[in-house]
Formats: sequence, C-alpha cells, structure tokens
Amino acid sequence: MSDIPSIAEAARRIAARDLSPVELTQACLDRIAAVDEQLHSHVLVLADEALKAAGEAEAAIMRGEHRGPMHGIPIGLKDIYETAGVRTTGQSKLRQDYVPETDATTVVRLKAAGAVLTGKLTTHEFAFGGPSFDLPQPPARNPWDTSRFTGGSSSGSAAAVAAGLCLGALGSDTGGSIRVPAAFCGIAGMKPTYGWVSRAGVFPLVYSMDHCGPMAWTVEDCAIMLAAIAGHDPRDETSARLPVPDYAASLDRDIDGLKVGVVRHFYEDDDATSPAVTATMNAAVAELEALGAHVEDVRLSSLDAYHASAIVTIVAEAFALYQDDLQSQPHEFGEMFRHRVMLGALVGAADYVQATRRRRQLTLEMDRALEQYDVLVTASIFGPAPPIEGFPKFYLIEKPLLSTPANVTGLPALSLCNGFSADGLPLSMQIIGRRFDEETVLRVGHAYEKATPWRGRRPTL
Amino acid sequence: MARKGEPMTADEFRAAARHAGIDLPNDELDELRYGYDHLLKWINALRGGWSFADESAHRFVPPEDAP
Repeated sequence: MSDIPSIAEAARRIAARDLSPVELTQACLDRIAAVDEQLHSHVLVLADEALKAAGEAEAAIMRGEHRGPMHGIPIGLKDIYETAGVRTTGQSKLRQDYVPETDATTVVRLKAAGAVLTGKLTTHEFAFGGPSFDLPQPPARNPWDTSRFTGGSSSGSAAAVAAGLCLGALGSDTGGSIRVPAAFCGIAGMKPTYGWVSRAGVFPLVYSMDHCGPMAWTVEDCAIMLAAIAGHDPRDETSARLPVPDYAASLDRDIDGLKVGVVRHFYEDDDATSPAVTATMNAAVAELEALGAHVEDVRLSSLDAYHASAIVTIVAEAFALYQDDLQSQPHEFGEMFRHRVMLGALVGAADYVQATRRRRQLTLEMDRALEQYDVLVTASIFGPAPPIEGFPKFYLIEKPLLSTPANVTGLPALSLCNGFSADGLPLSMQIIGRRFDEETVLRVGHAYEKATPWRGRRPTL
Repeated sequence: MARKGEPMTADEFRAAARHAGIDLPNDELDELRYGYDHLLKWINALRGGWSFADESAHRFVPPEDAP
C-alpha cells in the first residue's frame, strides 16, 4: 500500500470490503519500521497486539459486524493515556515501569469502536517538559523537516499522523498541546469544550485547563474520532451530560451565511508574526468569505491578558500536582519540566486568585463575542516550526501563545493547515466555537479544507 | 526584601522556594531566576487596579454553567 488514506477514506473502503484492516495496519507498522528512527514519534510500538486486533476487526467485518468508521483504523495514543497491561510512562523516568490495570475511558471507547492501537506516542514529559534531550526517549522530530520542532506536548501524535504512521491519534491540550503540534506538523487537531471528552485515566497536568482530543490528517477525521470518544463519563467529575451529535451528518452542510469573527489583533498586533502567517490568514479569511460566510474583525482583550491568566494558572496547578515529587526527587524529572514547574512554587495564593478572576472575565468576554458570531478565527501559530535544537526552556513563559485563549475559556478550538511557508513548512488557522458547539467548528473547518488544496501535500521522508 | 512585584535577590528567591518545600540548587539558580523574571511580568499584569465589585468574576471557571 503506497498511499496513506485518511480515516474517512479508509473507513469507506473497509466498509465496502475493499481494504483489509490487517493490510492497513501492516502498512502503518511498515512505515513505522522504515522512518520512525528519524522521527522518534513512538515510545512503544504494539505490532503483535495491533495485528491481532486488526485480524479480529477484519473477521468481524467479514461476518457483517461492522461497528462504524473507526472499525479497523490504526491509531496511536500520546503516552499519558493509560492502557491496561501496557506501559504508560508520560515519557518520565518516574513512570518507566508503570503498567496500568485499566484503560482510560477514551481508550475504552476507541476499542469499542473497533480502532486498532498501533503504539504509544512520544510526549513532552508529563505533557509539559519539552523538547527535552535528558529523558528516557528522545523528542519527536517534525516530518516536514527533521531538524525542526514538532511543537508540543502531543509531539509524537502530530509527527506520527503527519507521516502516516497511524491514521489518527489522541493528544491532550492544556495551553495548546494538541493545536500547536498539529499546526507545526500540518495536520488537524481538535481541543473540544472543557468537559466534553473524558480525562479519566489520562495523566493530569492542570486540572482546570486539561483537555483530551483527536489529531488526524483531516477535519473530517477529527469529527469521526470525536464522535467515538465524546460524551458523558461518570469516571470524570467534570464531564458534561449532553448527547453526542452526529458530526458526520452535519459536516457537509454549507457555511453560507455563517458569521465569522476574525480576531486579527491576536496575530497582527499582539506579538511578532511571520509575514507568511499574515498572508495565509488573509487568504483563509477570503476563502471563508468566498464560501458565503459573513466575515468581520472582532476585538477582544489582548493576547497578553489571556496568557497572563493562563500561565499563572498552569504553573501554580502543575506545581501543586507534582509538589511532592519535586521536593523529594527533583532530579528524576527532566530539567525542562523541573524548571518550568518549580516556578509554580513562587506563585502566591493571591496571584492564583487574580488569575482565576481574570479568567472568568475573559471567558465571559469570549462567550459574549460568540453571541455575535458563530465562530471566531485566528492564527494557530506565529510562524512555521522553529529548529528543535536550542529551543528556549521558558518559551511558554516568555511569550504568549495563540492557543491559550481557548484553554482559558474552555471553548472548542480546531487547528487546521491553511498553507505553507516559503520553505515548505505548514502554517495553520484556528477556529474557535461556542461552548459544546464542536459541530459548527468542524463544519467550517471541513468546508475550508475541501475548498483548498492543502491536504494534497504530505511530508516526504 | 523586594517589594511586591519586583524581582527578588538570589537569597530571597531561594528562601521563597524553600517556603514551598523546594531546595533550589545553586547551579540552577540563575536560570530559574531568569524564568521567574518572565513569570513575574504576567503575575504583575494580573495584580491590582481592578475592583472586586464585579461579582461575575468570582464564579469559578469552567464549566459549572455547562448544560
């Protein structure tokens, strides 16, 4: 098998018995064997288990027991998702021998949908400390240029999907850890509404900002994966009680007449943006207009205001979570994680309260903006993937990220490729929607993706 | 002693971390102080100058208002 299908394409062919899940899985395993030495996207390859699961899926489908679009689809998991009987390390020395007894709820759901788990994927240490070179495994490399950073912390998930080593992956997103690597690696990544996808059985980092979600080659694939994992989970106290929509059914509806607010000042005024980002964003906004959307600029608080609330919350909550280990065995952590999280020791209680108060204000601000608009769009990143060597330890603290506003507010946000830089590296647009309205976010993203040529280009390794 | 919102001396920095149970190694102190100086910019951006009268800001985020 030479071409790498999307999940949707593979699902259609599997349902038609035109594609064997075993052959599809074997093709992914072959690609892992061929290129992952360059990418380091996997911390564990589950070849035997995957082929066994693919064989069972194939047999069930041949018996007429097709479970839906995830049946027989090879997927990977960021190595903070607990997997029963399979080591889950968080890429930390502290968890090298940890073998969970149960699956995370999302893993249970993907398995129930018939997905085939091909491997556990590289992450920054505990989803925060990277790109680090002092951990048990090396950091993932960007398949568009292996000297470049993948973004993080769902680094292996983005690299593996972009390179076609699996068709979809789960990531987690506390300040942009799904959307930034998706953007740098040229794939789609969805951070759902806070409370929409269960976090039970996933290593936490920041209780009030952690989100789990899908990463895949296309927006349509993210919709398929989201439908499989979303919905109420009694194991997760923050889980919302709402029915899961049929995302696939609404995906192809046009976006004629939808109101789109462009948060232009986030990427044009609030920090230094590459000219290529401005150009691709202008073109993307024009494309949305051409598709019938009513587009206008909207002004929110500065990106700095969102980031101040985010970063104080992140380091304070992460420090609270890891305080015992940081006190008793600090050098078991990699230096990046240790230094970033230790700063949380110096955040005062009053400062955390102020961050929380500001956060509520910003949440109301964005909710109100979304009473005027169906979605907001902005850039996902300020420029293409930077070199991985010498990446600043405190980058998250030095400069704001375009992704953090959706973590501060808990709103659903999708990153998708909207073009390439002059040197062939992916760029990305972000679509933010109303609380629990992933359906509209995905619909806008899918309409844009179908109208543009960006999905026709894959990295070559 | 540094005033609230101002950078701390090395000793103050070490003492503040010790208060949180963290013994900072000498050879990492400069890097951590560099990181903290940046963090302080964000902390200061949140401090002061706004009223507690806005009750809506007191509700904990998110999503207790989720349906």
